Amino acid sequence: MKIYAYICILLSSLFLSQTVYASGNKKGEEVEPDTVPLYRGLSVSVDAVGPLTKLLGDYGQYEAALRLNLKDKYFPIIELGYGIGNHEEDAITGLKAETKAPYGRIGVDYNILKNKHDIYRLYAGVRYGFTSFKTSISNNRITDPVWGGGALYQISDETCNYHWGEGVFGVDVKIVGPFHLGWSVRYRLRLSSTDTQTGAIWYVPGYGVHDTSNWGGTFNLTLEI
Amino acid sequence: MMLRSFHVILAIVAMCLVSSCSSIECGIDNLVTCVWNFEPSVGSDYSSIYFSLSSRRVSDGNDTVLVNRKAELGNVKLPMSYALNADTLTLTVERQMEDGFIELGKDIVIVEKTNEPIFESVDCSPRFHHTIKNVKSSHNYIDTIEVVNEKVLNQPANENLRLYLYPVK
Repeated sequence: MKIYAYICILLSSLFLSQTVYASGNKKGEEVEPDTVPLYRGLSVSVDAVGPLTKLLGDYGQYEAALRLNLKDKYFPIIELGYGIGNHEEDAITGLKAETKAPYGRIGVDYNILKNKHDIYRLYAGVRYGFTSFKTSISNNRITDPVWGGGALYQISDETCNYHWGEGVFGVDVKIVGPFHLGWSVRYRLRLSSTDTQTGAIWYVPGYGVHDTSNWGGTFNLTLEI
Repeated sequence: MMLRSFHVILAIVAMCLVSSCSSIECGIDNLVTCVWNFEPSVGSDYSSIYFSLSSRRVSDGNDTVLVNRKAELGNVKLPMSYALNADTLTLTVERQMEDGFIELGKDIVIVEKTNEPIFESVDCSPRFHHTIKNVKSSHNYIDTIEVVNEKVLNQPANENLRLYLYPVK
């Protein structure tokens, strides 16, 4: 996971240096007052990474977002989604785990490019995320090596509330008309969670695997309204 | 246009990395044992006395020897059953003679407990923790049994049960 994080930071840094150079003003030029109105419109987007991770692995999410455009500078955003985790009987440990629940995030992005009204946008932002979910875990293959016989390993509907914060770095590019594409890289930090007696927190909808999915990303297909 | 293509390529690479990277971090201390501490009777000589502990398998009724002729009193770490509400163990006391061992007698110890499944990760082996509710025994060689720490976890306590023994004649 650490190698993956370093690669993402490196790629993001390389990209940042190109885009800032492409859209900056020259020194010495007179800055004209910004006369654009405060409200610049709404956009809706869907994430393509979540369904892909669900297709390739045990968990993923379906997510959509509504973003408000204020002066092409501030972008308050609400992200809503439904996360699904389903780990079929593990070949080694025999564990089976299932979680599904909705989640939400609220936050704001800031366009850090000097020319705020360009067709390219470079975001830095924060999010607060929350979800409440139930986890079910079972194992039908446990035998007692000393006392003999089988043992029922069953954790059913263990409830957990999970709060987390995110730091976001992203890009948005106008492709044609109101259609945009963009991506974001996120660092997540757990703020608080319900303590469970069994420790049964596996996949957290909207966050990832409990206490290990600190890095993540999205690829957004956006329509400006 | 090239910059837009760069975004798409970078996003695809990032998506692949997101789905391909994972790590497994399981605790290395996965064994759950109950610590029994044998307290000798003051003034008694246990130099030729040996203690064995065994349990009975529920699947076939055969005995499983957990401790075989322990010479020195002190701590022993014993596994607990995953599913039974009470573990029954047999304490056998023997004396070493010149030509072998003679059995002096036995005591039965019954440990009533709970079994709590514990989850760490889907990649880590599941385990059970226990809470000792009550301990009963016969009193041929065991005076009393004290529950010092009722929680039986994968990180063993200094002692869970303390067994006070009668003098051995």
